[in-house]
Amino acid sequence: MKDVTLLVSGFVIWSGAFLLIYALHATGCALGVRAEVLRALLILAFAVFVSAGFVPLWLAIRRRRGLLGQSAVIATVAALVATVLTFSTVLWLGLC
Amino acid sequence: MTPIERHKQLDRIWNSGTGFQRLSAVNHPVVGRRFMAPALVFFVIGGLLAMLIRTQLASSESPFMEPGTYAQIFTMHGSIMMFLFAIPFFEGLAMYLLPKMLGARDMAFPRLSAYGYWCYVMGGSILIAALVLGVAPDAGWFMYTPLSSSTYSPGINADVWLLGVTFVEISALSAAVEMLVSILLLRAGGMSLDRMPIFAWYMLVVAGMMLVGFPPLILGSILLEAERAFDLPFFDPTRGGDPLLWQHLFWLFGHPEVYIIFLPAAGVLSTLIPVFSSTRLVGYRAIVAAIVAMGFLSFGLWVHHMFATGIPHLSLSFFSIASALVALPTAIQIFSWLATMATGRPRFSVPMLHVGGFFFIFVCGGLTGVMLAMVPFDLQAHDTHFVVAHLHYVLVGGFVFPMTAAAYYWLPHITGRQPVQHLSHAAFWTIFVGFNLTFLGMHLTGLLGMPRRSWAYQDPMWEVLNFVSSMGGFVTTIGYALLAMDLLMLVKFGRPFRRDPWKSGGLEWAMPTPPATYAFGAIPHLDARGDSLSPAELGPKLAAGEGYLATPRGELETLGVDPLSGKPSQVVILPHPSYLPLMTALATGGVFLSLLFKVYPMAIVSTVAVVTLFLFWTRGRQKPQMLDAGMGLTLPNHRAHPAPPSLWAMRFVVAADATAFASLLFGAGFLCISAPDWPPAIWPGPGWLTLLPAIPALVVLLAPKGIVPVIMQTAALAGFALVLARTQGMTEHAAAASLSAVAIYGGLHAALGILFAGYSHWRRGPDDVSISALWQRYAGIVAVTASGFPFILRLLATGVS
Amino acid sequence: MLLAGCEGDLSTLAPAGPVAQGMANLWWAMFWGALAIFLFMMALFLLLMFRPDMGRNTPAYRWIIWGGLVFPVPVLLLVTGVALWQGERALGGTAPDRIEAEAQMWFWRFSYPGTGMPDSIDVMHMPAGRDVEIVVTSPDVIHSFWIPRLGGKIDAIPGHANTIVLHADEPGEFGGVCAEYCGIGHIDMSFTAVAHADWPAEAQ
Repeated sequence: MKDVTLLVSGFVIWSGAFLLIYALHATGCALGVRAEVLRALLILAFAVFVSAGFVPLWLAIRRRRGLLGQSAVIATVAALVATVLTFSTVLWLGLC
Repeated sequence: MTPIERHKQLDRIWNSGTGFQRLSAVNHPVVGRRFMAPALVFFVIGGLLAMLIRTQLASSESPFMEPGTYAQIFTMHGSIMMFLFAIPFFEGLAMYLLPKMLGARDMAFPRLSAYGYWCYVMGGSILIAALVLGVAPDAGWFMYTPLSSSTYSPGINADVWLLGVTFVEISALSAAVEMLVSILLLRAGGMSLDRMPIFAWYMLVVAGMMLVGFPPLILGSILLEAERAFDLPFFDPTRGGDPLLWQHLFWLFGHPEVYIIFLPAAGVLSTLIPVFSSTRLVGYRAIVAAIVAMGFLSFGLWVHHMFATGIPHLSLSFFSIASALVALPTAIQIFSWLATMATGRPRFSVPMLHVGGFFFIFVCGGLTGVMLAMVPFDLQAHDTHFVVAHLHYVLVGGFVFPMTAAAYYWLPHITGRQPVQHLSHAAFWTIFVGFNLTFLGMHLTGLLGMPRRSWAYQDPMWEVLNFVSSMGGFVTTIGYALLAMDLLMLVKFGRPFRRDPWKSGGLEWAMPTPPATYAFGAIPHLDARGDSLSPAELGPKLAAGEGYLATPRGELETLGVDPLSGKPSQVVILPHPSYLPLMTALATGGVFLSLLFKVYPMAIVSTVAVVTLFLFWTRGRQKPQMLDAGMGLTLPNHRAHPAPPSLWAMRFVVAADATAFASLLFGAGFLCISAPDWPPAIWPGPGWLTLLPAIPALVVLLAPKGIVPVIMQTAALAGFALVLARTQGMTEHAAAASLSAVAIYGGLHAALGILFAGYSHWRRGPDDVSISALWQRYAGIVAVTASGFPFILRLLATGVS
Repeated sequence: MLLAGCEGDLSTLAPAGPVAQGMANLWWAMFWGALAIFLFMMALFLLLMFRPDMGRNTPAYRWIIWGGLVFPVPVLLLVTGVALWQGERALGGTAPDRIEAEAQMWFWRFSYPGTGMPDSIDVMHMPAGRDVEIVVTSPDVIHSFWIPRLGGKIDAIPGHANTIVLHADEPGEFGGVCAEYCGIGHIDMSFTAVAHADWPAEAQ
C-alpha cells in the first residue's frame, strides 16, 4: 500500500495547503486581521506546505521501485511544483 | 469437464432468468447495458431540448416559447445531459467492462448496481415527468439561490430538481463505492496494480473523485430542500444565510464533475489509441501520475465559476493558477497518445475517426479553457455564449466523441457482430461539421456580449451568428440520427466474428462474444500487463478451465486479490438474482415522492421500509469457510477473510460521509464569515449542554465492539435530541439552522450506530463486527466533532463581530 | 467584415476604457497564441496518422517531456502571470466618485450619493475620463452588472455589496446588461451607461 500512499501523498499535501491557505485568507480578511500579520501568516503557511512537500518526494525517490514507485516520483514532483506555483501569489498580490 | 459442460453449469448458476425474472437481474453485463440504454434515451431527450433552444434563438423573430417555458427547457437540457446522460452512461460502460478487463466474473456488489440502476431510472423519470407536465425545474442547471428558493420559485419545479437529482446521485455514489472495491479487490490472479489495464486506473481515480465530489452537492441539495420545505434559512441573506454558500457547494461538486466526465473518456482513448496503433500504450507511468494529479487538481478549480462574485483577487489567484495547471496533466496525456501513435503504426478506422474528432474539438475546448482560467478575461466571457461554446467543446469533444469511438469499438463485444460501415463516415462528418458550425461562431456571439440563457435578442450581428449556430445544430442532429441508424445496422446486420476483432491485447476480448453471463470459464493468472495479452490464445484456455475457480460449485464465485500485488487472497461469493434491489429502490422512491409532495408521515414510513428492506439483503449469506480455488490454492471465502469487500465498501462509505460532514461544517463556518447579520442577537445554542453527546461518543471510541456501543450510541442519540430541542429559533437565523443540522447529523450517525452495533452483536460474523466497529469509531468522531463545533463557531462569530 | 462585426454596443472587442482595453488585448494575445498551438497540434496529429514514420526516431519520453512540460509550462506561466498582474488592476481598487447600482427583478436603479443628482432607472450616469466606483447590490435574487465596453462583470448578490471600478475614456453611451440569469425578465434588464464630460452631470 506504501506505493499508493506515496502516489497520492504529494497532492494530499497540495489539497491541505489549498484548504488551509484559502480558509486562512478568507477568515483573515473577514476578521479584519492587520495586513502585515495576515501576509506573514499566509507566507508562513506557504513555506510550511512547500517544505512538507519535500517529505513524500524524498521518500518516493528513496523508494523508487517498480512502475508504481516511478509514478509516485513523478506525482510528488508535480505536486511540489503545483504547491509552489499555486500559492506563490501570497507573496505579491494585494490582500483583501 | 469439457468447455461445453463447464459453460452449461456456469450459465445455470449465473443466469438471470427470463420473463418477469428479468426484474431480479443483478449481473454486471445486464445492469451495465441497462444503465447505458436509458442514458441514450435521455441523450435523445436532451438533444431534442437543444433543438428547441436553437429554434428559439435562430433569429430575432423566431421566439415561440414564453420565457418561463424557455427557462424549463434550458434548465432541463443541462440537467439531463449532465446527470441523466453523461454520468450514468460511463457508469454503465464501466460496469459492463471493468470485470471483463480485470478478469473477474462480476462487480463486487451486484445487487447494489441493480439498486443504483433502479434509483437512476426512477429519479430520471421524475424529472422527465415534470418536464412533460410543464412543472420542470427552471432556475438554470446550477439552481442558484435565491432564485431557486421558495420566495422566487414557489412551485414544485425546484423541488423536482433537488429531489430528483439527489435520487439519481444515490446511483452515482453507490457506483463509486462499487467501482473502487471491484477495481481494488476483484481482479485476475497476478494482476498487480501496475499491471492493470489503463482504463481501470482511470476509473479508480474517477470513482475516488465521485466519492468526494458528490457529497457536497447532495448536502447542498438537502440544505436547500430543508430551506424550501421547512424554512431553515441556510441561503437566505435576510436571516443570516448566504446565497454564495450554495455556489460553493454546487461548484465544489460541479467542477470535479467535468473531470469525472472527461476521465472515463480519456480512459477509452488510452485504451483505443494503442490498439489502433498496433502497439502498447506509451508513458503508462506518466499517465498514472497525470490522472492522479488531475483527480486532485480538479478539486481546486471550483471558484473559477465564481470569479465575478466579489471574492478577493488573491483567493481567486489560487483557483486561476490551479485551473491553468490542470492543463498540464491533460497535455501529458495528449502527448502520450501522440507518442503512442508515433511509435506504432496507426491504422485508419471508424473509431480512429472519432478519436480525430476528439483531438480537434477537445484541444480547441482546452485552449479556451485556459483562457477562461484567466481572471480578467473570464470577467468578460463569464455567463456569455463564449462559455456555452467552451463547455460544449470540452464536453462533446471530451466525452461524446470518445464515447462514440467506444461504441464502435465495444458494441461488437456486446452484440457479437462487427460494423458494416455504410453510414459511419457520413455520420461522423455530419456530426463533426455540424458541431463546429454550431459552436465555433458561438465564441464570437459571447464576445459580442450575448448573455447565456437569453430567450430573445435584437442585435443584428448576434442574429447572423445565432442563425449559423441553429443551422449547425440541425446538421448535428441529422448526424446523430445517421449515427443511430449506423449503430442499429451494426446490431442488426453486422457480421459475426470469432475472438478479438481489433487485435487488442485486453482481457475483455478473451471470451466468446456476446459474452457469457459468467464472463470467464476460469479466472486467469497473469504475468504481464493487462493490456498486452493475446486474447485469441488466452480465451480458449480459460474456456477449457485453465485458471482459478474453474469447477462450478453452485455458487457465484469470483477471485479476490490483494489490492496491491494481485496475489489471490479470497474467494468472493456473490449473491443470486434478487428482487430486493427493485423493492428497496421502490421504497426509496416512496421517500422521495413523499418529500416531493410534502406528505411527511409517508416519508418516515418509507424510510423505515428502506432500512428494513436493506436488513433483508443480509439474509442467506455464506458461512465462513476455506475453499479450493483451483491452481493448487486453498483460499478463505470472503466471510472468513479479515478484509472482505464489504469492509472496504464501509471504508469508502465513511470517506464519502466524512466529506459530506466536512462540507456541512465548512458551510456553517462560511456563513459565519461571509453572511450578513452574524452573529445572531441571541446565540441559539444551549451552551455547555452541546457537549453532552461527546461523553458516550468517547466511550464508543474506546470500546467500539460488543454491546457497549448499543447503549452508548443510544445515549448519544438522546443527547443530540436534547441539544436539538434546546436549540432556539432554527427558522429565524442560519446560525440556529446550522447548529440544528449539525446535531441532526450527529444524531443520525448515532442511530445508524445503534443499528449496526445491534446487528453485529446479534449476527456476530467476524466481518459484521469489524464493519460495525469501523462505523462506531467514525460515528464517535462525528459526535465529538458535532459536540465541540458549536463552540468553535461561536468563537469565530464573536471574532467576526 | 469581422472587424465591423466587433463594433457592437455590447461588444467586449470594442473597448472604451482602460480596463476593457486590457481585457481585449489579453483576449487577442491569447487568441493568436491559441490558434498557433491549435494548428500545430492538428498538424502533428495528421502527420502521425498519415506519415507514421515521421516520429519513429523520437524516443517516447521525449514526446511527453517536450509536449507535456517544456512547451506548455512557460506558456502557462507567462499567460497566468500577465493575467494576474492585469487582474490586480481590474479587480478591487477604489475611486472617490461612487455610484450605487441596485439590481431588482427586473430593472436597475442607480443613485448618486453626494452629487445631488436624482436616482435614475435603467440609465447610469457617470463621469468620463476618470475612475468611478460602482457599488452593486440586490434586494431579491442574484444579478450581474456588466458594461462590456468598459470592463468585466460584478455580481449583485443579496446580502453583499460588491464594487467595481470602471473608467470611460470619452463621453458617450455604452450598453449594459444583466449577465446572471435572474428569472423570466432576465433580458429586460438592459441599461445604458452615459458618460458625461462634466460631473456631477447637469442636463438629464
